[in-house]
Amino acid sequence: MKEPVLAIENLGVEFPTKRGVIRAVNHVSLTLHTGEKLGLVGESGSGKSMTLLTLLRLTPHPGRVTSGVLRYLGRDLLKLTPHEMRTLRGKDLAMIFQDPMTTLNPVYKVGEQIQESLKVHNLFADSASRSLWKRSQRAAERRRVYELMSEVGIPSPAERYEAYPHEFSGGMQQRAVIAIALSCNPQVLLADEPTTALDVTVQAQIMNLLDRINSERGTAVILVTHDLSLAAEFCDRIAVMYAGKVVELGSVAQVTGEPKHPYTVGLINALPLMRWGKSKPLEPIPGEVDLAHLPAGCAFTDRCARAMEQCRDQVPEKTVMDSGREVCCHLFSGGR
Amino acid sequence: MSLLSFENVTKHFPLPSSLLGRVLAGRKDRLVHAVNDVTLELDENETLGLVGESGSGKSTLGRVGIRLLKPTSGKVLFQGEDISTADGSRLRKIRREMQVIFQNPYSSLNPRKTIRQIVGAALKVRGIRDLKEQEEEICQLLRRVSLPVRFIDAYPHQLSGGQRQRISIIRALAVRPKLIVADEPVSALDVSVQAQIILLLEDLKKEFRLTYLFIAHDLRVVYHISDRVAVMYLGRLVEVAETEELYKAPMHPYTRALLAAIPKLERTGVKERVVLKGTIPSPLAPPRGCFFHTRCPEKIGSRCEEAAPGWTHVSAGHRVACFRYGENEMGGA
Repeated sequence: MKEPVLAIENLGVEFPTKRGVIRAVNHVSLTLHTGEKLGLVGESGSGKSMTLLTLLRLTPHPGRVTSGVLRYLGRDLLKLTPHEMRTLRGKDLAMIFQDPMTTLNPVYKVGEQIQESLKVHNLFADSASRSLWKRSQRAAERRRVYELMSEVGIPSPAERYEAYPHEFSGGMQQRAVIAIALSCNPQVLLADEPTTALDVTVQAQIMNLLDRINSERGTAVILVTHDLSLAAEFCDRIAVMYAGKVVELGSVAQVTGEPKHPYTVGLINALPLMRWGKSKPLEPIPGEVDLAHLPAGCAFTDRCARAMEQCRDQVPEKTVMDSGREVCCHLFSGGR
Repeated sequence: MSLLSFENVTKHFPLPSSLLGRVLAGRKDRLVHAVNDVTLELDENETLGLVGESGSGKSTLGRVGIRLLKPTSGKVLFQGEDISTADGSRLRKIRREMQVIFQNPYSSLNPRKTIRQIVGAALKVRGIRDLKEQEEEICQLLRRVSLPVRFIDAYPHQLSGGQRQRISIIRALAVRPKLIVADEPVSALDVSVQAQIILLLEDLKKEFRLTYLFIAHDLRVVYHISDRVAVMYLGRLVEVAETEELYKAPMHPYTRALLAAIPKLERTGVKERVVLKGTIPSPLAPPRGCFFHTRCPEKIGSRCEEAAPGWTHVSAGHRVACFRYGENEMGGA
């Protein structure tokens, strides 16, 4: 296989708190190939968003990276200087956040905000535009903004350039955020719950847009979501996370068709599925995650229907099974 | 007998134009058409799911139903009694029979009060004033929703989202209501916790003979809990049917589009599904004719733009408002 565009190796992120150290991301290893769509699925607190933020070196205070290598096209992101990181951020690795209303600045025009990243990364700089006002550079940027706005499906771009975020609907705002993310032709698009704040019908539009961007531009996408079925529709591969760990990783067919890890099985049973005609009773996973008081062994032990004695105090090793799928559970250790 | 019924209920909110605009340009106040001419009945011990996109007026209808809002026109009947204009002590008495659970348990519980105070206030309304008795009752309720009794003196911020929603539920139960309006009660929760709350609500319904008006935008959740489902678009009902029938044989193009937009575990690739274009129009200026005609993939022609379709009764309990299904009785329902 080709060299992956992005490789996360053994990433660890910790937060010191009054109740003890919380391991938000715990020995996570993932790879993303060019043009691939990878899904990170898990409940809140599973470390999926933290993994994305750390990829951009935006780990919030007081979190710190305790281990790992983040390899982007051969370079270790964790070793870059803040300045070098700034040239990559937004240009090579772009992020789409959950809530477009808080992503966009309410006091600037939408068009200006899309143009900003073009300005910051000086994409249209040329020797002719050295004049004081950089007029031709700004004009070129503006044309690019119009292109981007029509690409993401914002009608009449010239008019909408002048609009403020509050004049946009939720779906249109998210399109503007996607235009910002796309502005510098990123290699990797990091989408953190991009449709959670939106209606189902608008969600479908946005997911179609992301899918089109992926296939037309070849941009690799990491989609973070709590909705397993959304990831199943959109992604090529899915990593299921629980309490900071990847518990299962495989192709969509493997993970959703024949889930191995009891947590993945539980997630699927808890989904309000609709198979018309045969209404399947809901089966919730008992309890809730408490990151400050995790068992010494497998973090899922207390909620697991198939927990065994060794689960409580022995951390399960990652088992690589047939055709590259990975499961982290004692049930499958020692090769099935 | 129906417990709650809406008869041609309409709710408009005035949106005042500025003083300057009124004086200089002679502009009139505009109206937000939140709910338009809705007729709907809830039977006793039934769960009615109310679905639609944001801005479709489903929450407003729920609030009119428990008289948090007064309808602009039309009648709201509770146990056969017209409550649409009730106020004062009569309204307070009626409200004891109806409760509401809101979407966001972070904002619907007072952060400065303990669970004992929050639920205690509801018990006082029911007439349990003795503190000892209150404590017993609260502990019993906590146990009923599988929460530890020690939570009685906890503050809301000490609990997780799912636990807080359970507190909202016992606060609603504390007055022994007949009707509970649940306004997106599980939307803010994780999938695994969502399922816990849905099952809990189903159990409580049987135990306390409750009737739910269950408002949600997620059709998957509604499927599991509802006996019947009503689909709303821009303040109008477009289809009402028994749950199984609605999901198996949806008739209104909007219902079908909503169902098609749900992500499914078995399907791979987002391209396969039909995508509804655009977004819901502004309720300030709803389109003429059928409100859905601006986005409808199955529009018949100019007829849809000129007149609002009336109801077609497909079978017992299944009605749809769309010109595609034969001659419609105009207006009404």
